[in-house]
Amino acid sequence: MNIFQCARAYVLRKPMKSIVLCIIFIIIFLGELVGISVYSIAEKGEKDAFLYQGAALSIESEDGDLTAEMYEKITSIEHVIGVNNWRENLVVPVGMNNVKQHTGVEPGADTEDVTWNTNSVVLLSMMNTELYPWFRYEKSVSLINGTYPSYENQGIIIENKFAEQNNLSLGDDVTFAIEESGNEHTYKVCGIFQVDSEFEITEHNNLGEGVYIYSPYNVVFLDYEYAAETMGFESCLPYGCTVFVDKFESIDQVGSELRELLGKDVDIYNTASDYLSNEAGVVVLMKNYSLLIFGYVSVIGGIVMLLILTFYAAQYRSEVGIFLALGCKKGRIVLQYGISMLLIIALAFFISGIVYHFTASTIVRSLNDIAKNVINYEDRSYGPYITPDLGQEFSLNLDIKEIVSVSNYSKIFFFSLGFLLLSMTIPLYSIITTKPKFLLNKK
Amino acid sequence: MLSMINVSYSYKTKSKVDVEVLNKKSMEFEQGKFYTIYGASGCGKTTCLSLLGGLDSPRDGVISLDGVDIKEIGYNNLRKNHVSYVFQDFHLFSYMTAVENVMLAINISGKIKNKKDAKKKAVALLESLGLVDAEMNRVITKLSGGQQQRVAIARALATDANYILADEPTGNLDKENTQNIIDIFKQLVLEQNKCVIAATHSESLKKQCDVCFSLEA
Repeated sequence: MNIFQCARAYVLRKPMKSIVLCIIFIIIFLGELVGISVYSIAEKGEKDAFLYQGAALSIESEDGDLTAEMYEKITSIEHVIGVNNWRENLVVPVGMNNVKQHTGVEPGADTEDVTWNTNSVVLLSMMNTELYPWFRYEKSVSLINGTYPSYENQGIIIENKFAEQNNLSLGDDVTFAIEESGNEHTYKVCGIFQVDSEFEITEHNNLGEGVYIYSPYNVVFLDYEYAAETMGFESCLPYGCTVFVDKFESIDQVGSELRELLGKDVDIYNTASDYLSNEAGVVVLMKNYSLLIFGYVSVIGGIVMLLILTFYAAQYRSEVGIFLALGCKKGRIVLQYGISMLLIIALAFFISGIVYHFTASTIVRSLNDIAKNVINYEDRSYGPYITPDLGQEFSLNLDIKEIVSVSNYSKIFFFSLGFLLLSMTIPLYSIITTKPKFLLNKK
Repeated sequence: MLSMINVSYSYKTKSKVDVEVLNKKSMEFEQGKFYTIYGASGCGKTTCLSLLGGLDSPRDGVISLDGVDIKEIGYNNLRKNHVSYVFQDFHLFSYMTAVENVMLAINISGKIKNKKDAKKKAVALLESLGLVDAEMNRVITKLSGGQQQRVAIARALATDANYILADEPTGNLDKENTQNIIDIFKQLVLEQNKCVIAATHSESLKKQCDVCFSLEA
């Protein structure tokens, strides 16, 4: 009977004791896993908010003195990753149809007298399409073929469904009739993007079938400079732009440098703070509560665990006496107890891991829905459509693999080990301070 | 030879009163003899055994083995190699089988490394004490008092210690089992040149030993 065989016998031959201990540990571990996972979700959401959407400044100049040179200077500021202007034109693709795929309520044709053409699409001219939130952080929209539009490639990118429906591929020409001017312009397809989320029409839709203009399937992206040249509008918008910053922490620094560059007459808005106090606030709240749950479960669970382990350790003292009477080394006695308890902890940890693995996706999905419902509450109530919306700005993307991670499991396991070691204070103290004769008499 | 030389021992009660149990007691124990330490409850029999086996240390005096103070030998070393115990309430590991209890003692003594050899020795010891195969592989709690005491003796013999300290070894046994255990002790003394020191208040045990030390409360 070596040390491992003794430990195994200790666990297996005292089944009721081991099962009770195991069940208590499973409950504690599950609570901790839920807490730490929700915290991870929220932390990730907050991080995304800070890193991506939150890191931007808006500039408005009443004098309209933002020149091309000024744009270049702004772009050269440290931590600025791009400058954006965008212009939205309603256009009709000549000889083609837009995509009318949706979820939610039927669009309805007689809700209001709308002037929108049901076959119109939105032509979005952008200085930096790749920095646009759809592509940059929402992750539900991604370029799957070709390149982003630029002045050099003079191309457009279209949505995959739009391309399939109209049998378009890279290099094909698409002609649009501009609703405002009535002029027609032809552009080459330089890229195809894909929208993974669904376009949902709400009961508040007053745009009839015109709502399809704003369907993500019917948005076409074009380079701002090239659009300005071909459609005849100002190449650099002199009244304002958005400045994208690499990370939230750099916003104040960039803001100060912009102020120095542009002077006092230009308004600079920190959209990050506004954003964070609204949408991201939900995630931050979630993070704080989950941390509270995790902390509560960990502390209470830890205390329960410590008390139980200490009680078990106290019971072990009489066995310590027998071992000592047999001439056993003190180190082996402590180690054997540690291995016995570690076996139970590992078993409980394994079982709770399996249980959590199969229930985590449900928990995470419901949390995601709750978070989205809270975040999208206003859009859902008043807007004609949701997801993805041009002004939606936030989507909580959760990856179960990231949440139920080895790192999270490890944290909890080492946390338990800490309590196990703490609970071993009693047998250690007994061995060191009590004479074997007295240990033998402990019941 | 295991000796107690002018040993005194006292302990403090919860109310901090000093109670003297032994006062300058001297005893000597040789191999090949069966000793009893006889006396009423509270006279210090168990204390004597605890001191001889290094489970406790005396206030004054010396315990020596072959002329060497057991402090120098080391209490753990003493228990591992030279003395072994048989307790009144057996002190066996309840969640192990008879053979496992004996194998554990062999493993701790470190004298046999191979598991098969250790098991062979454990089985041989248990057999020599009258346990059959089915009993050996039974968990301790499913054995009778007499059988448990035999397992405890087998465990004491497993380490090849020359001095076997038995604390009230027949205290929990009926008449028949008591005699069986006494016979086993006698046999160990005669055939294996062991020294058995039994602390007892049993008259029958006292009558059958070679040397009896009487203690008074």
